[in-house]
Amino acid sequence: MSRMNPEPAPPDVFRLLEKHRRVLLAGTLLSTALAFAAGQFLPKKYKSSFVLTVHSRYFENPLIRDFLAPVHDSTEMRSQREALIRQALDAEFLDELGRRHGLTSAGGAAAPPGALRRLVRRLKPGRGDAAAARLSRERELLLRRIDVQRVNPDTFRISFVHSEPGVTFAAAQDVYLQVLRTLVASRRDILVHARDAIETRMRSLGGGSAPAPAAGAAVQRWRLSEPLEDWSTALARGAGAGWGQEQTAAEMGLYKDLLVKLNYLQVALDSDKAFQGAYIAVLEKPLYPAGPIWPKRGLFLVWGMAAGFIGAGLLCCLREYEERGTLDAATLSRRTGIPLLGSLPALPER
Amino acid sequence: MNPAVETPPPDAGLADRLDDFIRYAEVKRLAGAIASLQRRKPFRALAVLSVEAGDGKTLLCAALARVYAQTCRSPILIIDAGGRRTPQSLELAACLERSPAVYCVRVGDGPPPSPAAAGDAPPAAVAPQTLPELQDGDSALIRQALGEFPGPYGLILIDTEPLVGGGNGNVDPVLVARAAGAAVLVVGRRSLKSAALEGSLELLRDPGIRLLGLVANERHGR
Repeated sequence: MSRMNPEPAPPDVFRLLEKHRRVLLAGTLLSTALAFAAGQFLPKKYKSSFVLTVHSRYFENPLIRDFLAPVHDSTEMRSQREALIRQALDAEFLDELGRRHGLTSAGGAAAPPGALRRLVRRLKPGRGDAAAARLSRERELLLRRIDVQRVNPDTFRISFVHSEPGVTFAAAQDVYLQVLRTLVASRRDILVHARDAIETRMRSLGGGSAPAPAAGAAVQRWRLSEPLEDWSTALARGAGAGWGQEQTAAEMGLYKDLLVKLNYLQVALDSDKAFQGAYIAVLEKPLYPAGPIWPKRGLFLVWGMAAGFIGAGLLCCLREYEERGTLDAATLSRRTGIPLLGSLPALPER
Repeated sequence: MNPAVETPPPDAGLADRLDDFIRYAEVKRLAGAIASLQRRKPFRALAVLSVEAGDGKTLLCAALARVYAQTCRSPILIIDAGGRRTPQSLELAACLERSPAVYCVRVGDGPPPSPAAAGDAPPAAVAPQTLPELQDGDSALIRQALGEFPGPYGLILIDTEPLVGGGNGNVDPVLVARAAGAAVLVVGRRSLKSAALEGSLELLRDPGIRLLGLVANERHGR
């Protein structure tokens, strides 16, 4: 002899789930099917990436420390690394990349604008060179496909994203080569510019400070490829060319110093050329994409099921709320199959 | 009404209101439907159930008893098995003041006088009794209420406890419904909004309960 819970029971979740099971099931299945279809038909995205490390040695060279100060600040080094990588993705390279893989219309005959675009142009006067604007826009879109991510302070992952795996792989390889070229060239250019500056100064010391030579007198130019002559011979030659004794002594000292630096620079250049891998390490080369990164079918299915269940659940809650709010005896009789015998009128007031 | 039971002072206004109430066609129609069901498959006792308190069980019992007594011209017995009273609860005694053919007894009281003796001098007052000790639980009270009352009552109406809440030693309405030959469920606004409605309906799907149907009492705003 037991009675039901004498207190009003809290909403029975399991009973409600059982009551609305058809709606929940239908909603979940429908949403899952839609998510599956979306996973099949949404435009796919493929990604190919490479990882490289730019060591701190890139910014140092003991041979030329005296006149090219190294960078020690880690923040500055990090910024410079990223700047060098992004520097590789200049407009010229982007145009070339777009042309090669058909990603932009750069360099080709532009397609005539449609009627709608002509109308838009008329409505928006003063837009300037439409072709340049379009090119700029295309470059920007192409640049968005290239993603530079910092893995740690000296390591970067550079990726290329496209809807076709073949294009993705080829473009990633092009970006990879361009970045490497730029890194190597930037370091070499610093050394080369310093060398050229020193060379120019040395030439000016050799001939600039002296009186104008007589016609036909050979001005000795010191070439880098020639062996270093004995100073005395050089001085004698200079004296013979009309150099004054005071100038010679001061300039000789400077010339000597510059020559030493020039030799160090040349050694540094040769060393860089031979051991480029010493300051750049490629940890991962671009690979052909194995599969799309988007859409992920498994994730879509899970989202679809969850969204369907939650959506159907909300719908059931609304229906339940509406039922409870608007339930009357006649509806209850219809739903339960219990006949409605009649209704009582309101008891007259006193 | 059995004058032997000690009741609160009758509310004359309530009796007048009930007089007006039973003139409504809906009430007569309802009584006719129940009478028709009784003829189809006879039952002696009818349990009046509701999910929540204040749905109108007592009102239905009183009105049904009055109309039944008038139309079927047979004595009616109302057993008040509902122990819980709220300030809004109707007093059966007050409702049935002018109904000589309707007898009312509360569970725990002694048996009412036989209706055959009603035409004679009014029976002597019977001192109210306390609830007997539950020897076999609620079954003893139910048997006493339904099987042991003498008299050829046309119908025995049992005003029960609400299905939700209760306890405190009062008679279980589900057991009353099982013991009675039939039951009706009064549904008011409170019941229709009650979270326990479905659970209560599930209880009433008991094969031992013959649920005749629902009686709507939505106009009464409690």
